[in-house]
Amino acid sequence: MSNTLESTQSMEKRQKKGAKVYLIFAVVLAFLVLILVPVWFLLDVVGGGHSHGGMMMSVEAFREKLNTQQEAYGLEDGSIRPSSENMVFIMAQQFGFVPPVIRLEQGKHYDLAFYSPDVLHGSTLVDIGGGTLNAVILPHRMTTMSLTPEETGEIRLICNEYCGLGHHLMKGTIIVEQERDPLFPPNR
Amino acid sequence: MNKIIDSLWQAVNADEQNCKLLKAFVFTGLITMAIGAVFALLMLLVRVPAFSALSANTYYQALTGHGIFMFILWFSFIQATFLIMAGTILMKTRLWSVALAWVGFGLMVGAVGFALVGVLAGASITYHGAIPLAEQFSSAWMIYLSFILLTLGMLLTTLDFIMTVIHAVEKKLSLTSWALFFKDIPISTFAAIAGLFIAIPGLVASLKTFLPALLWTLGWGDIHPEMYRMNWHVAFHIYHYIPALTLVGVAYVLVELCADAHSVYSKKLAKGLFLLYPLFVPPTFLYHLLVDPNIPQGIKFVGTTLSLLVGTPTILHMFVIVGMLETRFKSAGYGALGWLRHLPWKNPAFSSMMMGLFTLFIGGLLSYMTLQQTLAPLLHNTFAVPAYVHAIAAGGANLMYMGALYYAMPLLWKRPLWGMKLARIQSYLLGFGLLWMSIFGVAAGLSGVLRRYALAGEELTDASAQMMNLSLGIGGTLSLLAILLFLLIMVMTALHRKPQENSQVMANLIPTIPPATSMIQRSPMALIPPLLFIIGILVMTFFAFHWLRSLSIYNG
Ligand code: HEM
Ligand SMILES: [Cu+2]
Repeated sequence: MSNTLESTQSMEKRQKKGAKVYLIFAVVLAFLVLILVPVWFLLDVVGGGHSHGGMMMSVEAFREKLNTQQEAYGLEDGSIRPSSENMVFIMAQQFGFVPPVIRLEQGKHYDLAFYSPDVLHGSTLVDIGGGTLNAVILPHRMTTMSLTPEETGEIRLICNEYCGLGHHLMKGTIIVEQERDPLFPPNR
Repeated sequence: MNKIIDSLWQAVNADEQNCKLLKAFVFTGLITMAIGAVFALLMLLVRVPAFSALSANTYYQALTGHGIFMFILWFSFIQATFLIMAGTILMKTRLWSVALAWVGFGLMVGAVGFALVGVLAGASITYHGAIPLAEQFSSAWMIYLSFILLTLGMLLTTLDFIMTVIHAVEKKLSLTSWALFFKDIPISTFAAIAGLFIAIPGLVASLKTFLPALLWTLGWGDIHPEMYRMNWHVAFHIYHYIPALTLVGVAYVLVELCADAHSVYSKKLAKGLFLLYPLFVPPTFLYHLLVDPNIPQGIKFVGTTLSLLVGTPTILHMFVIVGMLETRFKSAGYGALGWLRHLPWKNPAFSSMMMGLFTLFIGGLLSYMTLQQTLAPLLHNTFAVPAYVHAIAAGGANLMYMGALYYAMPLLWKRPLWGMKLARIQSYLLGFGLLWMSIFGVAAGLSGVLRRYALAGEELTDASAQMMNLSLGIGGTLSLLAILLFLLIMVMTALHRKPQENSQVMANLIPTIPPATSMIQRSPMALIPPLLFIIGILVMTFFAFHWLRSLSIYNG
């Protein structure tokens, strides 16, 4: 009788101890979510991010930049073909992007500077085969996205922040053209 | 009869006034859920490519209504119900002031009224209510007013709960008396008290956000859009962790009710874990602003790192809760896998809870993608966001709350549950529908479909349109059916018989689990979900970065 009692007691003790060990495992696992931090370093993606900038600017000042850009790079079909040496200015407004069509050269590095004169917008670049890069465009503040398009084709530009009843109409296009296409000499 | 159910029955019946109050909260909550479901239907009609009906205006209206009625109003009413229950029925005490709670309830009903009229009048500003957009909608003030009334109502209810707690402590100035009190109260009541440390800052942040916004829409004062944005995100961030905490508090009640399971660990552990939420949650609001241009990289890095910890308390709770089931069933003699098979899968409350935990798990995995700074640009405002929200909130929290109502309805209305057979499939249908909606929704989001967008997806690629057909067409429709089924069961339960004076009405909800014959305390299998979770976020992170880098527009 006393023997079985002893063995149940020792079993209980063992069980209790086991329970504690499992709990410690669980605590370790729960904090292991932090393992993503070394993973970021491993993948070399720390501090990455596609949008930056943040300068405040008046609507007039930005309009002037747009006008200068239009004069220098505007084409007859309403699109622009900017140089990769300058920032590309894009006005995001209710409900469209100005200029609506932008021609970029494959393999060149561009800085796209978005600006909203009215309400909150977003910029979504939809890659040629699907997949998006998204950024926030705060009213009166410039958001810059850097871009080196690698494939030719059409990148859609869509607003991703609900900005009113015409939100889904707010679209633009980025046409990525072949490197130094002889048919399209730089228009200066 | 079952001890716990008997004691709950007595506690409910001991206080008719309190019971009436709780019924009012539950009933109004169900109405808000029904309205939210009608708005969901309207959205499906627009956004499923195979339907493509109705206008964009209707879509944005329904979107605003759906978000507010489901996520803000229904959750507020049901969470207020649980708060009052935690302070009264679970503690076997009386509410400090029933009248005060009724005033709070009245304000919250006012919030329902203004939200409905506002949305119908065309205040399509979403629950984000961004400024200066709102000035273009003349009835936007009604939405802000609705949020303020709701906040005030919740504040009064919370105050009532706090006074109830203080009242229940024998010697209010003696620390030992408080210590004894905290030791004695049930885990879930303690959870509610810990929740106060996020609820009260959340409510204050809400007033700070919406009061100036209301005044501004009425022409008084000025407001900076970025100030509003920051305030709104602080308030909303805190607000959406209330369900995260509440669902766990509810789960502790449900495992005891459905499976007669108790933790092998001291109650102190579970209670201590609840204190981690107020510690880990507030500093992480930055993860909503990871793609904002005006926040420095260094701050974003700290924000995204801290955010990783938001899941930690919940992961630990999950270990404890699954362990409660494992040890209880193994103690009854079931083997390594037998215990899983013998869980009360046919109890609708239990299956609701388990589906809730499962969807929470999947949604949690997805949420760990959106809160990584470098991945955020890939997912921000795409359809992947509402997709995972439906796994976490419409799944996780909502299913848990429904599970609790499977007990609470018969208890409060003193009638047996109507439609047990339907109830048995309802939770599986909802869990399945939401997972389907969520998984294909994330796929649609990755392919370029956006959230809060009145087009179906066919304007993108055929693949995107197919994803939306699968996600909302099939998953959304099944979820909607399951929600309607739930509402039917609840309404019929309240109406179909005369109330009875005997806890026998709960008979079909009593667990029939063989008594424990040994004292198993180890729960190795409860470690599997946390382990899978860690492996899951690692695999998905690698996959997501691979996808990100494969984009031809990735390199800046
Ligand atoms: C009945 C089944 C449901 C269906 C078919 C459904 C469908 C939808 C759809 C189509 C959207 C719009 C996505 C967008 O365009 O951004 C949405 C948004 C949302 N739903 Fe649901 N939903 C359901 C249930 C729920 C439940 C129970 C909740 C409760 C938490 C919920 C919370 C939300 C939230 C918070 C949003 C985001 C609103 C916003 O972005 O402003 N849904 N839902
Ligand atoms: Cu826009």
